[in-house]
Amino acid sequence: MKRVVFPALAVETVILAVLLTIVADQIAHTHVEKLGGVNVWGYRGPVLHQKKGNEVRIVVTGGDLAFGWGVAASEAMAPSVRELVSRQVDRSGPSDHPVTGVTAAAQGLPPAAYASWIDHFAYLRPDVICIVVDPIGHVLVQSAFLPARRSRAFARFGYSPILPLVLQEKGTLVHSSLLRLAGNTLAAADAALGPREDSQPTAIVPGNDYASSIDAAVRAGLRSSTGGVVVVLSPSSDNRGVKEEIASSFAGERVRLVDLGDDPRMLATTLRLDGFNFSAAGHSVAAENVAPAVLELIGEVEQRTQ
Amino acid sequence: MTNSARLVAVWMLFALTLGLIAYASPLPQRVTDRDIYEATATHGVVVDCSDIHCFRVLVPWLLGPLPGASIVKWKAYAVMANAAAGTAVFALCLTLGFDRRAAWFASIASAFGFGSLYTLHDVYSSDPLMYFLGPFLTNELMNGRVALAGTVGAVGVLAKEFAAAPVYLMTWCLAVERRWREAVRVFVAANAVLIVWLLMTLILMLRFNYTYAGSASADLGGGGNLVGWLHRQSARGVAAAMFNEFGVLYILGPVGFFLAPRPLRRLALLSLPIGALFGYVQQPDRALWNLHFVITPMSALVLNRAPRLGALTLAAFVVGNVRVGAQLPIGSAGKIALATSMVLGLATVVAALRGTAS
Repeated sequence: MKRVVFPALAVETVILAVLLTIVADQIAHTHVEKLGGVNVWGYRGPVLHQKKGNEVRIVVTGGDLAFGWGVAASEAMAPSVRELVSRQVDRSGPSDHPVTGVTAAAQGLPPAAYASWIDHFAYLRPDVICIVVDPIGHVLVQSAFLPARRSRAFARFGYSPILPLVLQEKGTLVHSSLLRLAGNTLAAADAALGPREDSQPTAIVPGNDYASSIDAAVRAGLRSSTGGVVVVLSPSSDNRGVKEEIASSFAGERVRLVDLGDDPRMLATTLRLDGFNFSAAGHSVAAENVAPAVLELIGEVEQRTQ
Repeated sequence: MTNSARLVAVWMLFALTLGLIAYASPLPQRVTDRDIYEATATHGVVVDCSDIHCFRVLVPWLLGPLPGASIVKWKAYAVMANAAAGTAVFALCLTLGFDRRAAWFASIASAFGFGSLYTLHDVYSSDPLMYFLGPFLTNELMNGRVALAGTVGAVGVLAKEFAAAPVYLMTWCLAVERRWREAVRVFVAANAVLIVWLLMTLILMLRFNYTYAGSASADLGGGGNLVGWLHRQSARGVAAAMFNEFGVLYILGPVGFFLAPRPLRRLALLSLPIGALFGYVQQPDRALWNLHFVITPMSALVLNRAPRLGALTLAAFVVGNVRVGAQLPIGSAGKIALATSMVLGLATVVAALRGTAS
């Protein structure tokens, strides 16, 4: 009997440890997904419900600027755009089009990875994708868990663990070395299991291939969305070259270009938290610039379907 | 009559009587969990569901494909499962060394108790199956049939998480008895049941976006379902609901504890934390009936000491539950029966203790 029972108990212990860690991770997600974290699938805010037939879905993607470090999920650009678009949709007549907005961006994501990131989130079935591009020369944030795109779980299942980060931060907050150790151990285990990368992650947004990266992201966005793509350029950079290139590459296509630098308000330092990331007010003002382009694309979709 | 044939006869008798009560029981005039269970029966999986009952898939999955009207299928299921619960208590009592009359008392109290009869009124629930699995799994484990109990528990847990509780309860009982080998075997079975439940829950959450967001049961730090339930009810409502739950068994059970054989006493004591946990996370007036198989055998030992008085007490208890549980419109007869059962119960206790003393 011992031959069977004790190995079975050992196997069960391992399985239970894994399952309970996942449960704890899910609980951790529910505590942080509405704040500064991400949900289990790696985007901000609660997990979206299955898309309804009449729903208009707007996805804001990109790197650090789009992710919106320092503001709650509901204060980022996507919900602000959603709010403005929703108001306009309601105003244009009796409508039963619920509008949803979601931030599917990643901290530290270089522009060269935008296209594959957009492909990854194609299952969200967006109508309009807003690609908020980090400026050339921006030092990318090296974040392991917002979302955990280098994790094995993310690569295999799209599941973005966050428990290590939550334990580390909680441990620091309450001065618990035990919590920090647990967080560090889980982070180390996650890193050990993570897929190897051929090259070091890009630390700075490079100038070379910048336009071609955006080009590839736009094409991915056009594949994934029904309405089209809005390219949103950072206000603190010289975007002339990129604007010209996108304009020539996508003339006549479902692509709109918004240069936040065209709005003088966006240059105010009061709209930034740390000199780079937007405050809630910054996201709101940026959304005011983006929403008309989104509405235009949605209008075109409705015209095509009529 | 062989033991199996006797159990089949007990089940048929219970099923027939419960069937008549179920037929006469009116439909609830309030919102129930019917929509959730019917949606699961129709679609198999209700994507984006945030109701705890969406996780309880087994019964709707089994009943959904069967032909016939939904209410008929669910009433039939409630009748059969509650009859099986009574029968399982009968078998458990025999395992515990009760004589047949005491086993009858216990099984009737279980089959016609408040919890069972309430599920004949509000049939869209996994509870009847749990009322059966509690005594069934305990009895199988007491008889050393660990593999069978583990397998049935692993299937049953797809209906409701409570199915894991009797297996862990028996693990603790065996550990307290220092029967370590058996305890480890049962512990392996209990863990297997828990793993099945965790896997199913995680699959439903991750693959189909099920959440517990709409359920207070998952809010363990915020008072579970207990605090919300207490807030929604008046003090009188809480008292009435808790009284109805066990009625005269509140008097008989504790007295029976001192008359019970050691394994049953141990079972009763170790089931208290489980009762407290489920009373906290669920609605306590209904959750506690899951442990009927502990209290009805203890009560039966008292009834069995003064059998005539005991039979009258049990009859009054059943009539009262027909009113408060199955909600049959029998007017004040139900209240009178409940009050009578309390008086008779006290008399039975006195008679039983006098008999013990003499």
